[in-house]
Amino acid sequence: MSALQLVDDYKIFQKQNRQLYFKKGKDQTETEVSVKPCFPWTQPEHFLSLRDDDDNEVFLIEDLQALDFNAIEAVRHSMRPAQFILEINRINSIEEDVELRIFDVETVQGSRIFHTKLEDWPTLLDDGSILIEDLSGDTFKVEGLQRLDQRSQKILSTYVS
Amino acid sequence: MNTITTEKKKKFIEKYLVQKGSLPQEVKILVSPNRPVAKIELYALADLDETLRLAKTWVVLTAEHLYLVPEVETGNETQYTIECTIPLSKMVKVTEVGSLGCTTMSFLQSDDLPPLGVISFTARQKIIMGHLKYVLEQRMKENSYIEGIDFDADKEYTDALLKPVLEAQNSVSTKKGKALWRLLSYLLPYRKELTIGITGAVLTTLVSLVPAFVSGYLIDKVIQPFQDGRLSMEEAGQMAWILVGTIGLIYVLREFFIWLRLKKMSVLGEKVARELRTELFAHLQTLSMDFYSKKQTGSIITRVSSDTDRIWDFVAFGVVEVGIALISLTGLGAVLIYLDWRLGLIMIAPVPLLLYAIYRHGEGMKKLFLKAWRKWSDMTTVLSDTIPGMQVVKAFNQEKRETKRFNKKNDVVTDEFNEIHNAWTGFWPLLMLGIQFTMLTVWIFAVPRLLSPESTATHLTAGTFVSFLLYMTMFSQPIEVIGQVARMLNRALSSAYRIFEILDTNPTIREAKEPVKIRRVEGDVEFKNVSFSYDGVRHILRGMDFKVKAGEMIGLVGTSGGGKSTITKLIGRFYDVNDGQVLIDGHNVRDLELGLYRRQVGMVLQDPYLFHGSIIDNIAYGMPGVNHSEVVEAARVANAHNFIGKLPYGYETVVGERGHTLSGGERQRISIARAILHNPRILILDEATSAVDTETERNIQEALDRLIEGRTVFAVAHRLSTLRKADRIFVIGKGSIVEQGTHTELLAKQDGEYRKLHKMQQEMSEFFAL
Repeated sequence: MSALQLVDDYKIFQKQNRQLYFKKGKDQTETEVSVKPCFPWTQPEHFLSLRDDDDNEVFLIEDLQALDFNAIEAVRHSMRPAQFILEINRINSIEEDVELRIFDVETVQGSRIFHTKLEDWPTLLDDGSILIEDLSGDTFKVEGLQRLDQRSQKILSTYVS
Repeated sequence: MNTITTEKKKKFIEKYLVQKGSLPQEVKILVSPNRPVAKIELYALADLDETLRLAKTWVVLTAEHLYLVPEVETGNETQYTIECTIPLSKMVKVTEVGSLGCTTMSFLQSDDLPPLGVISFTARQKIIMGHLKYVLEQRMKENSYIEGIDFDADKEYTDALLKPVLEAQNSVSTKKGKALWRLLSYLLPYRKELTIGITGAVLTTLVSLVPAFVSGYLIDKVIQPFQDGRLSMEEAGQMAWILVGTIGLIYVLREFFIWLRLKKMSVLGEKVARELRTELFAHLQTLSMDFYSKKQTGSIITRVSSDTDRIWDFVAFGVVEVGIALISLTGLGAVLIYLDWRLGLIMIAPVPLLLYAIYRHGEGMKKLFLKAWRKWSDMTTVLSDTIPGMQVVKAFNQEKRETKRFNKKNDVVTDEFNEIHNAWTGFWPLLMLGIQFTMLTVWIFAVPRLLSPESTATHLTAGTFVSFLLYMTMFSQPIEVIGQVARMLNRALSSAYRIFEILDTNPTIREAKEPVKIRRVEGDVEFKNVSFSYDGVRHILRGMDFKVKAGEMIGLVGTSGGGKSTITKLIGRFYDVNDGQVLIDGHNVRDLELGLYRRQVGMVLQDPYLFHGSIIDNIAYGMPGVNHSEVVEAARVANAHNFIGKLPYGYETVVGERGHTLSGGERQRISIARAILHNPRILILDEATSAVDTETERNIQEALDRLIEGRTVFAVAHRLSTLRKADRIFVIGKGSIVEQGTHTELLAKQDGEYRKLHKMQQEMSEFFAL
């Protein structure tokens, strides 16, 4: 076990197989869990739902910082994919085809072309960041229109301002 | 379902997703150490690396191994190396952790050992990865059903990747030019009307050019010579009246040609739209249920209504307007140069610039409209949110808040539209100023020539100049129309694509070439090793076997998603099995004449569907020859007659869309009356009493008891009490029959599933009774 945490009589730990486990009390069986943030945008380290194979919640971590270092690391490691999002830092073009809007973008993770429906619009969050969900369900984030270069801002502004 | 071939799909994946359309040959060779090419069962692309950067790793499944093969670009070369070979025999579990942006899949051995492999991918790859995971899990189970099933790996990969794009865009297979020609081909049967319409349009344009010319001629050849004394009053008057009469005649002709064109083309457009609507609706009737499960009702309705209307607009006006504009502009240019080439060039030279300005303005307006459209949709969202939820709004005293929310959105919409108005009201006067400036330039160059002596080579007559002025006023309209061509064409093509997508969809349920006609179905039903999957991978039914004798009542119970309703859909042949056979009276259901067979299968569903119309129309649906006493008798048997009698117009009461004026129980009893009248040999009851109160349930149950007599019945039910009369009960779980027997037999099984379900329901009844 690479990490072990005791919160009251709960244990959250990671095994050699790199999966996250949750165990309640001494005699209870351990459950393999995944982490689902309840407020992924506004409270990424609070209200983390630990869910079993059937996607049922087995435990709710209200504040990650309340756990000890090893457990935090184990949860964070498990959460890394959960927090992953394709982050746009440049817009090359936005074009329209039949029924589709085609975004050609540069993301922190690499170049990507994706599609949305013509009637689907980016979502503007309260903190100014912008979310765009494509046809496949991938979510792209722009930290803020002002953070993009002038050309990208001009291209994207039609869809968000 | 769609006619796009796998080969075409591969090209679309490369074009639309910038991803390889199939597994590269190099990878196939790499994973085939001992053979020329190994049999690839499935493959997928993991598009994130371990640091969660976009990358490419091919995940390839063969009979014995799972390979992870990264694709690395080095300069102009692409290199592949096997990073990981996972023997399937070592794999004990596949875990998947999904999130907002990526999914991580781990191929595990034991808890104490590191994973055999870990891949990460975005949602784009999720469908095909889901298939892969499912197949791996089936492999890990003993006696796996999936083993031996032949997948077309290319098809699975292309279908899974393109599914979202194809669902959104529909006919990506068709090129724009091809779609336009196909659309125009609908005009071919109406060649005569088309020829008359186009001739009318061309003649309208040509005769429109005449009055200006005649006006100039009148000045130069009649008025001026008369004023100079070269023509007598009588001669001048005679000529002038002839020319004025000619102008009048031209105006009449022009209006006649406009009438001819509008009448022919609008009627022609209507004919094309009607033909498309008829063809579409008729084709929709032939499509199988899987089509309707994949498409939204609203989207299908829009295609039959709004899209065909747009096509009418395009055919009636678009095609000809553009033609007229082109002819007008060319004709005007030619006439101006003919009249005076110097002034003609001054007038024509700025035309490309004006067209470009209109194009740029159009692009700008497109963006503004897009913004306004977005804000408009925000505002309508508030409406569609608030109005259906008005009771909640009022209950929480939130009227003011909602009004404020709406006003805020409304203000934003107004601002956007004001911006649009600012843009176009600013542009068009500027454009006109440009045209007028060109005209002014013509004046500047014309005046010295007008004032020059007649003997001068460059002298310009007043008549020619008047013609010129009149022609110049005709310049702006065709320029404006040409500027709108792209928008008009895109709108029409977009509708054409959506319509052709449906027309190009083939029904998946097809009748045999020489179908077996069973005039009277006895009702023997047999499932022989039936397997079925909606998506081709996840099996809902697995090798199911059962025999039901004519007249038997079978209860189908079990957990949701177990396959109960699927059994009834296969009996009705709304879907075809993937494997095995469904036999009706010993004949494969695929061999039966579908219409004749389906007329003998009746269905009473949980949420019965009533059409907008009278109650009698709904009960006698599909039975035009039935008389009133038969309808009343059916309603009596269905316990519906009494409540129908209470309605203001009795059986002639119109029930409204989907029967919304009636309660759930009333709708159900009408649907039972319909089934009674229909007199089916095989009856399917799918949760027929689940959505009603106890009293209504008793009424319905009584009606159902009468209905089931003498027929083969399959009754899906959650309330086990409704199945006491069943001859046998099948407990369905994970695609197969886990238990079967009578109610009493099943209750007698100590650890039986049915007994557990029964106990659970009893406890719940007792709990609620308290």
